[in-house]
Formats: sequence, structure tokens, C-alpha cells
Amino acid sequence: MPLAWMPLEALTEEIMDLLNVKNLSVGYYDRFKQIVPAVNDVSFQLQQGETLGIVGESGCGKSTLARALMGYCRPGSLIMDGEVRINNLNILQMNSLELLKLRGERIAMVPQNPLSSLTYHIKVGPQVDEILRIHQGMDSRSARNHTLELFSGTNLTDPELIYDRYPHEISGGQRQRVVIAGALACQPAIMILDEPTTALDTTTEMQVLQLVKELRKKRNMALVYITHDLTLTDYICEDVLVMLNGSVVEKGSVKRIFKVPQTDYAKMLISSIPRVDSENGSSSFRLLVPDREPLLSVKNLKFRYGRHGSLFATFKPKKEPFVVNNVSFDLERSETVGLVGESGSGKSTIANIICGLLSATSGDINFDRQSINKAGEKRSLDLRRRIQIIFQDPLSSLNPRHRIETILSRPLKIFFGLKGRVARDRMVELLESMELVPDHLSRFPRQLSGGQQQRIAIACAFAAKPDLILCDEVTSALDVSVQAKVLELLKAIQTKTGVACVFISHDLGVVKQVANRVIVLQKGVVAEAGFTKDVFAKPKDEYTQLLLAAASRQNDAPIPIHNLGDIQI
Amino acid sequence: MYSEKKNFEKNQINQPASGITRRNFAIGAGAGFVSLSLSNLLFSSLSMAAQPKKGGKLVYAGSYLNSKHKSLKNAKHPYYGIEIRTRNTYNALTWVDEELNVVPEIATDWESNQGQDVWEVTIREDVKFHDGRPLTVEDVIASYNLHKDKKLGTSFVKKLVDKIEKVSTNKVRFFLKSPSSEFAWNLAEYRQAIMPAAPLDEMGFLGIGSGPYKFAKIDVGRRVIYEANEDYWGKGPYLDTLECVNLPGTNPLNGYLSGQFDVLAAVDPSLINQLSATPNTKIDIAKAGDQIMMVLPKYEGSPFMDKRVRQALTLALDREAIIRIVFGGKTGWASNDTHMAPFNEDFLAKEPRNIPKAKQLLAEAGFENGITLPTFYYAPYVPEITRVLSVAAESVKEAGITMKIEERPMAGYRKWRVENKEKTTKHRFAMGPVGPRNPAMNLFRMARPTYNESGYWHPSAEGDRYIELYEKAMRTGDPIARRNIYHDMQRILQNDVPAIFLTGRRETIAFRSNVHGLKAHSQHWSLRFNEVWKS
Amino acid sequence: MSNKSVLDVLTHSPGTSIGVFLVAIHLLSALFGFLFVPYGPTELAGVSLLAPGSPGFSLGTDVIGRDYLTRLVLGGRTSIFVAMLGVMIAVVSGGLIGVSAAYIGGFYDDVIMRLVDIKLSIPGILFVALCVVGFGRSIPVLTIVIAINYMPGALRIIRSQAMTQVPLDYVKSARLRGDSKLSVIVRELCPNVLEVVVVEFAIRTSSAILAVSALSFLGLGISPPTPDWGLMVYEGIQQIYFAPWLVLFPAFLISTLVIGLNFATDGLANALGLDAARGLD
Repeated sequence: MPLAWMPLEALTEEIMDLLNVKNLSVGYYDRFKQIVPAVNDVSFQLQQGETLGIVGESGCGKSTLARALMGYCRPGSLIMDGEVRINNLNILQMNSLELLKLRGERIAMVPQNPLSSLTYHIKVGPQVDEILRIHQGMDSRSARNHTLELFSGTNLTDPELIYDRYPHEISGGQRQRVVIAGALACQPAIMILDEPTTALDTTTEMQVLQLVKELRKKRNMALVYITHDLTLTDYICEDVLVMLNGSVVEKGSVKRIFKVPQTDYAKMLISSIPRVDSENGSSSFRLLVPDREPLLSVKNLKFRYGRHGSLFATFKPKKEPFVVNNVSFDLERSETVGLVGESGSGKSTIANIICGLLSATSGDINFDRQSINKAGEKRSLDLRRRIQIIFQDPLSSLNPRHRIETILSRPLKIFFGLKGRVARDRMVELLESMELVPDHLSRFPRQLSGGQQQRIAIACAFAAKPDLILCDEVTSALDVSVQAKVLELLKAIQTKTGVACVFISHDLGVVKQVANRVIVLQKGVVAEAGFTKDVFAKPKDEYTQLLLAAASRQNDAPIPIHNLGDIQI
Repeated sequence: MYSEKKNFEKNQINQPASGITRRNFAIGAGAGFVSLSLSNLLFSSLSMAAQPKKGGKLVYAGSYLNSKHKSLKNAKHPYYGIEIRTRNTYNALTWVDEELNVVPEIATDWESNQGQDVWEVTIREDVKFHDGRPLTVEDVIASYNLHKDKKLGTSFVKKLVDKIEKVSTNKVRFFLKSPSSEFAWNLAEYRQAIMPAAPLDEMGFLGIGSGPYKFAKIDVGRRVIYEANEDYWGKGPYLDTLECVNLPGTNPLNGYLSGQFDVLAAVDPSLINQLSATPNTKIDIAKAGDQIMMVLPKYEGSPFMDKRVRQALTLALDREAIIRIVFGGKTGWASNDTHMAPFNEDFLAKEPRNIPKAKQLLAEAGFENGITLPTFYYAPYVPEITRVLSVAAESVKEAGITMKIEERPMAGYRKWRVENKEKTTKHRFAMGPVGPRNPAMNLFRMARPTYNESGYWHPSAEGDRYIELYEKAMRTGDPIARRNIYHDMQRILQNDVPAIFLTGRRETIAFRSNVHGLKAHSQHWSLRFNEVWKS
Repeated sequence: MSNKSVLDVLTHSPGTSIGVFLVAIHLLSALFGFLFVPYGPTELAGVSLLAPGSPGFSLGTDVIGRDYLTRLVLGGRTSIFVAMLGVMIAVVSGGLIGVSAAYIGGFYDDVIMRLVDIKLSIPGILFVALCVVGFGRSIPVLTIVIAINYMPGALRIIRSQAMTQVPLDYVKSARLRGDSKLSVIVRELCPNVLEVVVVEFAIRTSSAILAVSALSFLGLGISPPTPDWGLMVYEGIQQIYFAPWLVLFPAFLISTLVIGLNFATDGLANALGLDAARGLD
């Protein structure tokens, strides 16, 4: 709409708002073709340089709202009412070409799942190059240089190396940083971040937030920050919207909401945040009397990626750095050890080696007095049964095309040869132990909530009656309130079955809750190890201190972010 | 005209003692003249009345894909002429006219001995080659030495001529390996050109002939431009330039309709009605033309081993329907399961279509519920062939015969249709196009027991008898006696059905109404342009 | 991935609806057309070259007097059948090989992808034409050649889709359980590339129908006297000045079928969230 046609008052009044959302309602069609509102009558304004947090549990409509801000609507849903104006232009009335240009240059979004925003068979560097070439018209050389700058700007270690990696060759945190780099590439006036740091460890998260903050200041950029983690809004946002079931329940400055939450819901959100410094961090994962022989013993474990298998590897030999370097630790029966460290520190790699997805470059791993150095395919059925892993993203670890029944039946059939009635009874039993109902058996993973999905994944792992469970960031993809529930159930079933557990997390608060001992990893090397209590109370290593400081940011007013920026990770 | 010939042959018989009898030049020339005027009567009277006009250029287009015109080196050689259009540049000793009579060309006269195996031919003395040299008896001898050469020579003559010698400055004598009572026909064949004498392996490549036109420009395989030979011994030529274009598919038609070409040869019969309605277009239809022969492979396992199946198939074919539907009743003809054309004097009509009998024969052969024949393979020699075969396949359904047809590409078809596995040459159930000729040559083409790959004869008494009869006919000078033999031979073919002849097309040409002196010819290779002119 | 109803997918947009409508009409007439045609497809029912609108022959007759309406109705059957069967073989076999290449990776994947590259560097219609000349012109040969021709392209697309699934944790879980390669490929991965397979099938079918028609037009596809649109165009070309409908009718039907398929496929791909805008080889 040409500005000249607007009445003068409207012009002066409205032009002030960079983003103006008025009475926005978005709805979905359900199975019966009825419209179910997902976002209900939401209004807010955002000026240049302002930051708005949108907080709520999953399913509260915050992601739907974020998409609507981009003028995008999933198939099967529709924007029922209201308007979204950017610089006073109603984007809901734009055609797709205008929207494309708008999304490129005015508004950008960092989506929640880095898995879905990167193309799998293209190296990550060229993917960012492409954005620059298309939107900024750069040639390939300067695009590459710019990409490398963006990469180092998002604190990616060794941008040159990352540039030539495929998405599956970098860690989850690195992936998300690449995605953020891609979003920043467009130099948008408004940036929408939809749970961008959920999968990141605390230090990286802080770096990213710091970076976003800096960029916002530098270019007077407006931010919309969507998260389930109230603590983050405290750090990054000035104002916050608390959403429940599609409606805004509370609205105001962050400081005010933290101090005097007005609704019960906001109070609940704030209270369910696990804290590193909280007193009631229970240790119900008790340490039993140690066996003479440890269940798992890892000695001098080293690992690096090789470009094995490719025809071209023969022509282009390339020494990769060690991802895991000289790590040793023991695990007693029924004990829980926490592996902490930021992304890229090698903690997931260790889990993958133990379960047999990767084979160690050198070192010894003994499980119940037998060597398990070989990769998974060569292990015996019994060994495979005894070591189970639970992954971070339940949506990825459950085949989206199988019903829960099929998924649960596989381990029962393979490990115990259970079929039919017996198998079903066992499945129901497993579901009940996870506080799920038999009704869920006939569902597909996508028909369940994130927490339910993860509980299925846990049930699936315990179906094998394992002796060792590897929990790889099992709670990081979950909302705070759901996280607590899942942890509780996990603890319960672990106590009941006496399974040993390697608990991997970047969330020190969670680790403190569950682990007897903790191992802090930095760049593949053990930085510190010891009983959780001791490590948390008196960290000896500088890195551990930094981690703890970052994790407890919300209570300590000055955050040592400037220090973190210097760390070469 | 036929009676003239017969009288002459009678005279010949009446003079048994003289060994070599003499044939009057005037009779030969007269026959030619009569045939000319007859065909001109059939033709537009306007062209008769008008005086030929000299000059101009005529473009003739057709799509005879059966061309050996493949490299510039041999493009001028008479064996490789574009769509066998050699008669523009070369002459042969004799010519077959539009009525399928043999008439003089370089030869003025020919006569044989009683045994039909020694022939004397008298040569014109006023003929000059394109390079100005006079055509002599030596040139004729040299040319025939090439034609009969085992390695370099050409069919029809190669197996027949033993020796050729000079009798006088205008006469040569042919000694044949076996008698041939209709030898003068062989002399008219399209490759039997007379060329200036030269070593055998060099002869003909320069393109020097004695014909009405000289080679001017050659675009191999597609186009030859000729210019007039002003010293031509016969009538004409009237045109300054003659261009012959050979293009695939519908290109000749498109070119003709757009005014690019003056003459359209090998006209698709389905276009005749529309073309005659096109302004300034004349259509001329010859008496006959190439026909489609179905080779019936005879080896262990082939259903055609059983005579009754062969008979049933030919009885079931509705040739009248093909002529009516595909050729509009006007431009098609049917043979009698031999190479003969109905207007060959010695043609013997065959039994008409008879479905009950065909069914009965099949039942006797053990196919009460009908028979599915092997796939019949064909190549698009002529545009109407798919239609002919579609109607044919439809017509035999009535007798319970299923005949699938499948088109194969033109390129390499001749080779492909003979399955060559483990040194056996099995012929596929496939087609061959055959042109109309005189009875001797027509019937000769089925008299080749050694020609196994054609699958004509499985070793049998009928085959032996057929060959015996053929040899007898070739020894027989008397045309009446010969006709009886020819009839016997045709009866054998019609009873044993070694091959089936579907239908033939009548060669049809379309041309602008300002083109005169052009007549369609049953043998498309015998079409002459020397008397053609444009007004 | 979505739980949309079939009807939703089929009426995704006006273009899709038109496409689905056209394809439905064509499929119905191919399947049941023989019940309604007035004559046999090769029956010589009338005088040759009757113009459309002649009594008894609403669309006239062809050059040897077969009812043109009948031949038009039945003229799509064979090429649709050959194209669909061929592409189905292509997509299923290409899918299995592609998924296995994505999963097994390494040398196996490299070899397969280089073979695919080699095949994709040969122009499709040339490849098919050469094969048909070499092995004969029968329906089985044509079907298999179409399958071989379309397999590498489908393989590549399906492989790239499978590549997005291979790194996911459920595949790791299956491996850790000790599932065999075959079991992982068939049970875990194949269901997750199903949508791509369906879209590949639809896209390539339209291309294959065009290819079969083009081959018939060149005299290398379906043999006469079987009614086939490509063949009918070829037969009609000779008459184009005098009886243009002989070419126009079958050409129109080929176009509507291919356009319909493309519209429908496009909508299908959009509705399933897949990118149909990729070029075809």
C-alpha cells in the first residue's frame, strides 16, 4: 500500500511500529473439518531495537504465531482474523513474491529444529553461501568469505573445517549455529528465533545469545524470541508474552513477571525451572555399594572421524582431529554418571562408541568383564540387548511411519522372541510404567506430545531389560514442565530395575539432579571428574567454573559473557 | 501390338534351318512407336497437341528409401543411382516401356539361335557419350564384361551371360550359360548401363553415359542435379536442368504442396483424391508397380511348413478389400501368388477368397480354433504399407487367423529379416517388395532352390518340377508353347504357395499441369525424362 | 507425513482439481472405454477418411475406414499401461536400490551413483529408441526399456530423500537392535520415502507416456494396427493438409493426459510438501 495514500494521522502514528500485530487469530482444521483456534486474538507491537519474548509450553501456539509473523501458515491451517503489519504493510495480504522478498530482507527466522532447516546432502558452507548469493547478489568468492565470517561470528570453531562438512558430520549445537549464521546473513530488521538454543549447551547458548544481543544493538534489530525457557527471556528480552492455549495470559516487562508473576501459570513456569544452585536438588539416584568389578570401564579412549568408505577418500586423505582424546572412567552397577560439556566436547561420541554405533580409534572399553571394542554389528545379540541408548530427539528416534505398537514390538521380538498376546501385555506394562495408556499403542509418534514421545523412547529402551542405559540429552528437546516429569519417570524405572546409566547433558541443573558422579568434558578431554556434590560445590577446573557460572546466570546479576567470548572451543 | 510380336515369333519358328534368325529392325522400332502413341492417347491430349518447349528446370521428388546412393565416390555409378534413377544419365541396350513391352534403346535389333542360348544384338551407330566419344561395340562388350563379372557384376546378367564377343562394328554376340528365351528383357534392367570402356574396377565411376542428362551436382543420398545433354541421340531433352530429390516421409508431399517440387513420385494412394483436387495438379497412374511379397519361412517349427496353412492364409486374405480401402479401388492391383501382374499376357488368375475353405484347411492342419502366426515384420518401403497390412490382418481374422504385424526401421531391414544364427539362414516371416517384369523374370525369381534364405522352397517334388519347367520355358522359343509352361508353373505356385503376394500399388505420379511428356511407369526405375518439358 | 485425507490432497488447488479431473477421465476411458465404443478398434467399419460428423461415425474414420472415435477412446490404453507399468518397475526397483545406496553408502553407493550418472548422460529417448531397435518392438521390451530408462532418475531422487532419514536416530536404534541391512531398508527407511516414491511415480508416468507416444510416432513404439495416439498422429501426418483432425484429435488427447498428470502431480507434491519443481531428465 503506497504510504502517500494514508491519512496523515495514521501515517505518523503507525509508522512508528516496526511490527504491529493486531487481533491475530490462527486456526487449524481438525479431523472433522472444524476450525480449532491455535492462536487466539493476539496483539502486540514491536519497535526497532526492541526484544520480545514469547513463552509458553509446547502446543500453546507460540510457533504458530511465529510462522504467522512471517506470513506463513501450515497447510490445513488458516489465519482467521487480524493483521500483521511490518512497516505498516499488512503482510497477510501480500502475494507470494512480495512475501519472498520480505522474508529475505526484512524478517528472518531461526527455526526450532536444525535437522529440518539444513539440506542433508549439501555441505553447510555452500548452503549459507547460497543465501548470500541470492539475496545479496554476492559472487561465490566473497560469499564464501562472508560465510566464514558469519561462522566465526557464531563462535563456530575452525570455520574453514566446518564449511566443508555435511550437516550430519557436525554436532547439534554446531548445526544450530550454522542455521543462525544463515539467518543473520540476510541482515534482517526483525529476527524471529523459535527455540533456537534448546538443543545447545549452556555456554554455547550464552555465546549465541550474546551474539544475537550484540547484533541487535549494532543494527538496531528487533527480536522476537520464542522459548519455553523462562530464564532465557530474562537474559535476552525486555518484554515478554506468556501464552497458554493460544491466548496471551500475561504480558509485560520480564523483570516484573519474574518478580511478581500475576497468573498461576506464570508462577508455575517460574517454579519448575531446575537450578544449579537449588538446595532441593535431590540425589535419589543413590550410590549403591560399589561392586568389585565395575560394570563399564573405559580406558584411554580415543576417537576421530575418518572419511572411510568413500571412493574419493583414497585420493584425498585428511587427518581429522581427535574428537575424544584419552578419556577414561568406570561405571558401577546401578550407578549414574553424568557426562557434561558443551556441544562438540565429545560426550555424544562417547555414548555412540559405548553402544557400538562408532568404533573407537584406540583405547579399551570393557563391559561386564568383556571387551566391547568392536562396533555394534559384530556384537552378540545379548550384548546389544544389555546396552541401550535413548536419544535426544524422540521424533527422530521413533520411526514416524510406524505405530507405537510396531516400534515397541521390535525389541521384544528380537531380544525375547515375544509375539502376539504376550508381547502386547508386556507393551502395556511398559507403557504403564511410563504412565501412558494402552490406547497410545495405535498412535503414530507425531500424534503424541514431545514428552510422551520421549517416554515411548524410554519404554523402548527398557523393553530390552538392559544393564546399561545411555541417555544422550534426553530432556533437552523437552519443555521445562515436561522435562521434570520425564526425569521423574526415568528415575523411577531406573531405581526399579537397577540399571546403570550414563547421563549426558549440557544442562548442569538436570545432571545435578540425577548423577552421583560427574565427568566434565572439554574438547574431548576430561577437564574434571568427581562426585557431583564436590564438583558443583568446588569446581577446580577453570572451564567447569565457567560452565557453572553460565548455568547459574539468572541468579548472578553480572554474567561473565565477555570472558566466554574468548574461549576457543 | 502383342499380336505383332506373336506373328513375328511364328515366323521365327517357320525358319528352323537358318540357325540364327533375323529380327527386323522396323518391327522392333514400330513396336516402340505404337506403344508410345497408345500411352500418349491415355495421357492428356493437351500435351500431344502442344509443341515441346525448350528450357527450364524441373524438380522431381520422391521417397524411395531403397537407395544405395551412399558415398560420393560411387554416386555416379549406375549400380548406385539415387532411387535407381540411372536412366537419366545412362542408356541400356533395351528399354521396357509403359506397357511393359521391351523396345530398342542402344540396341536396334536382337535375335537368338534355336537353342535360345546365343543372342546377336545390333547397336546404334549414332550414339555419343557425354564426353563426345562415340559409343562403340567395344564399349558394349566392356560394359557387359563388368555386368557379368563374378565379383563386380550385377544380378540377372551375372548368372546368365557366359561370354560376349564382337561380330562386326555394330553387332555383338552374347553366349549364355543356359538358354534364355526372353533375354532382351534382361538387357533393359536398370543396372545394365552402357559405359565407356575402361578397366573393370574403374568403369562407371566418372558418370559418363549416353543418356539425355549429364551429372551436374550430387548431394549424396538426397539430391542429384542433372543438366541437359545437347548431343543426345534420341528425342529431347527439353529441360535445361533436372533435379531429383529423395526425401523421407512426408517431405516430398510438403515440398510439392509448397511449390518446391514439380513432380511428386510414389504418391501415397490415400492422397490421390485430395491431390487431384489441388489446383494445377495432374495425376498419372501406371498399370502396375511394386507389390508386397510375404516370405513364408519354411524350417522345422514354422507353421508354414504345412502347405495347408499357407493355402489357408492366401485364401483368407481379402485383396479386394485392400484395393478398395487402401487404394481407393484405383491405384492397387493384386497378383496371383506369383510375381506376375494381371496384364502380363501369361497371367493365370488364382482362386478367389474362400473363408470356409481356408477354415477347413486350417482344421485339417490341426488348427480348428484358429491359428496365431508369427509376427509379420515389414519396413516402410511405401507409405501405404501399414494400411495394407492392417487391412490384411483384419481380413484373415475371419478365418481364425491372427497375424500380428510389426514395423521395423528401413535401415538394415534387408539384412535383418534373415535371421542368421549358427550359420543357418532362417528367413523371418517378413516382406519383400518386388517389381513387375516379364513372365520369365517374374517366374525366375521363384525358381531359385539355392536361394534358401528366402524360404521359397522346402525341398519338394513341386519345387523340382517348377525348376524343370522354368528351364524348359527358357529353351522354348515359341511364345504359345512357353505360355503353357508358364501356366503350369503358376499352377504349381498357386497350389504349393511357397510365398504369398499381397497386393501391389500402381505407380502414381503427381505433377504440375505445366509439366508435359511425363508418364507414370509400372517400373519406377524405368521412368524417362528426355521428352519432358515445361510450358 | 501429514494426516490429510485423500480428498484434501486431490483438491489441493484449482490446478490440481483440473489435473485430477483430466487424469480420472483418461483412466476411466482407458479402463472402461471398450464397453462403450461403437466398433472394434481394428474393424474396417466404413469408408476411409470420413470427416467428423458423418452418420454413424461421429469423429469420422481414419485412412482405412476404422471408426476414429473408437480408436481415440482406446488409443491411450496401451501407452498408459506401458508407461505406468514401466515407471512402476522403475520407481520400485530404483527406490529399493536408492534407499539401500543411501543406507549402505560407501563404495556401493559410489558405484551405483556413478552408474546412474552414466545412464543420465544418455538422452532418454535415444536410449529407448536404440533398445527398441535392438530388442524388437514388443510391449514387454518397451515396458522394460521404459523401466530402465526412468530408474536412475527416480533412484537418485529417492536416494536423496532416504539420505535425510539415514542419520536419524530411529535408524541407529534399528542398527543397534541388530536388524539386518535388508530389514532396516525395508522396514524402517522405505515407509519414510513413500511420498517421494508416489510423486516420482506420478511425475515420471507423464513423462513416460510422452516418451511412448513419441516412440510410436517415430515408428518404434506400439505396433499397428493397435490403436495408439502417437501412432495415430504419425498416420495422420501424411493427411495433415486434407484431414487435419486425424492429427489434432490424438495430439489433443496426449496433451490433456500429460497436462492433467502434471497438474495433478504438482498439486500432489505441493500437498505432500515435496518439491515438484525439479527438472526431469
